[in-house]
Amino acid sequence: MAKEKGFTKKNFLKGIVVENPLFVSILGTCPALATTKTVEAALGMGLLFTVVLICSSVLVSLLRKLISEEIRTPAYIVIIATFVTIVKMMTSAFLPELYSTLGVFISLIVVNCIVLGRAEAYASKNTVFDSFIDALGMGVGYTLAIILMAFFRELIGTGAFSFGKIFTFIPAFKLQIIPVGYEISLFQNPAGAFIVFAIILAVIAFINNRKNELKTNLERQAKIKKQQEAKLKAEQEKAKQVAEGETK
Amino acid sequence: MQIFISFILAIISSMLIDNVVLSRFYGICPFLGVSKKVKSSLGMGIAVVFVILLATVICWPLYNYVLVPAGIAFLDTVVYILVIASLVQLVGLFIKKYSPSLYKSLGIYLPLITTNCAVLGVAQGNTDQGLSFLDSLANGLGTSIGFLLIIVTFSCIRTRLDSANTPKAFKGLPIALVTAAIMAIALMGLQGLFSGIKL
Amino acid sequence: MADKKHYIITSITLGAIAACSAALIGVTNMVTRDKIAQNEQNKITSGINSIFGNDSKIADEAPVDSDYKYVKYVYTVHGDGDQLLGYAFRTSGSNMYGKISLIVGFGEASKDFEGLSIVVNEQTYASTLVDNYINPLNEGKRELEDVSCGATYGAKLVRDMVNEASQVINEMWKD
Repeated sequence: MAKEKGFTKKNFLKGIVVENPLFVSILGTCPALATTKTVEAALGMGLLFTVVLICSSVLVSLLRKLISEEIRTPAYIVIIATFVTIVKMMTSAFLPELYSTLGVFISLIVVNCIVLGRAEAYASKNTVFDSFIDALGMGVGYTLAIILMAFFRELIGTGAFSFGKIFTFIPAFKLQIIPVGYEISLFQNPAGAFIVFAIILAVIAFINNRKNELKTNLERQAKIKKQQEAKLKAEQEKAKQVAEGETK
Repeated sequence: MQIFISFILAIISSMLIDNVVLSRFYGICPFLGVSKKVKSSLGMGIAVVFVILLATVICWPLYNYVLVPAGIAFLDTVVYILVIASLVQLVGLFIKKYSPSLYKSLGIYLPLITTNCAVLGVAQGNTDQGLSFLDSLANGLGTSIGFLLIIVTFSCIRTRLDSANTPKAFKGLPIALVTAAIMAIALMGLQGLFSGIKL
Repeated sequence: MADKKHYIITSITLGAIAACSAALIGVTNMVTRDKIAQNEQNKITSGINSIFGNDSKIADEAPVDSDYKYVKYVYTVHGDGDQLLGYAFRTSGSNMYGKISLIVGFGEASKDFEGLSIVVNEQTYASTLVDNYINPLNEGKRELEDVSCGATYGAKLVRDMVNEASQVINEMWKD
């Protein structure tokens, strides 16, 4: 199969911008709302998610000729659940703080539509390397998206960014940005998560609307210009004919 | 009597105060995806109640009487998701055979339930939190009814929102999310509802 | 006939995948089990340190007899110079919102409640429980009756655990 140049790069980048799983496809919303109280927790969630996504995509792609049509979904679910359990145990052993912060949401990666969706839609049809790149792009895109949500929630909700509580191997520090007493703790609550998500989606819709408007405007202008040109040409022709008639 | 009261309290608190969608964030995907029409959200909600109850009744004994004695409690997530996936299939077949009309209205939502976090979340939470069977049942019942309640209410609001004059950028999902936020704030007010009751 | 063969092959594939998964998880469990147990132990030690100060260490560990509902283990806590600082109890129990496991410390010098720290908190209202009950308790407030949020039942469980632990320590001091 011949591939166009730069395919791998495009394949990677599509997960981050054009097909961002959270902001464009609106998938995986549960952890995006539940684990975005702090940037650190969101980063941890994104990391675990990416690991599961990559592992399951690669394995599904490896086994794609072995797994027949009927047993696709159960086989994929078993594969995903296996990696989630392994990741859960590893987290519990080596990052216990992350484990207790995320709690049941580590197990819930199993039912995250993105993982099953990528396995069904991409990894089951493509080569191992392409699936790996696709999964990496999607994972990074999702991680960046939930970090963006956590950024606003932590900034407005607590007025500061604190690190080192979950990843205990880095020294703990706190970056106070909004003075104490001026934070809006609503943004740490569930309601704040919904509002932040709504505003981000609205901004994206706004930008898209703008783009579309510009596009249609340009098209309309081009159309008008074309019409005018045609009109001008017709008039010139007419004038020419009239002039020719007069000379006759 | 005391058991009965605590059973009822557990149902109400997991249904309203600690609502599955608006404060625990389980099942957001169907909450946003299947709530455009009241009828479809009702179908989805009822199907979820069905599957969550069955999953609770099966997963709790399976964990405590099979997995733990056999020393393979660490396989819980894999077992739960398999139980849920096959339950969804079975419920689908059962309804198809005995009530084709019900299948017509519920059938399309059944496959979506496998990837609904509420089901796995309840099954996993019950055993992770170490609840007793009765409390698990209360948790399952309250959670699923809470889901039904919220998704139907939300779809009613959304049908009205369609005809409302919202800013262009907020049309569709963003304004629905803002609505959900306001609903979440309303439910926050119910915290401490039972503080007067002494057990 | 070919149909039957096809079914057999697919079911064997599915079975093989499931078996491999179970084996893989089993291996991971063996690798991480000790580390998880170690983390649990670290949590207990750091809980005792937060009650008795950073120099404290566990000198002795013994199970408490099964007459008690919540109190499971008793730790004898020694200071830096091997002097007796006090006793700490590990309690665990659960109610309809989930399980809690605590370290309850009692000072030998003051003959009184010294502090409380959480080992496991699986309560649905885990954070409100800490803010409204555990922190005030550690700051010296004993009135756990006044309730302000959904954590009421968790607080009741914590109070029962602390009461039982103080019952045990009083009997120990009497002897």
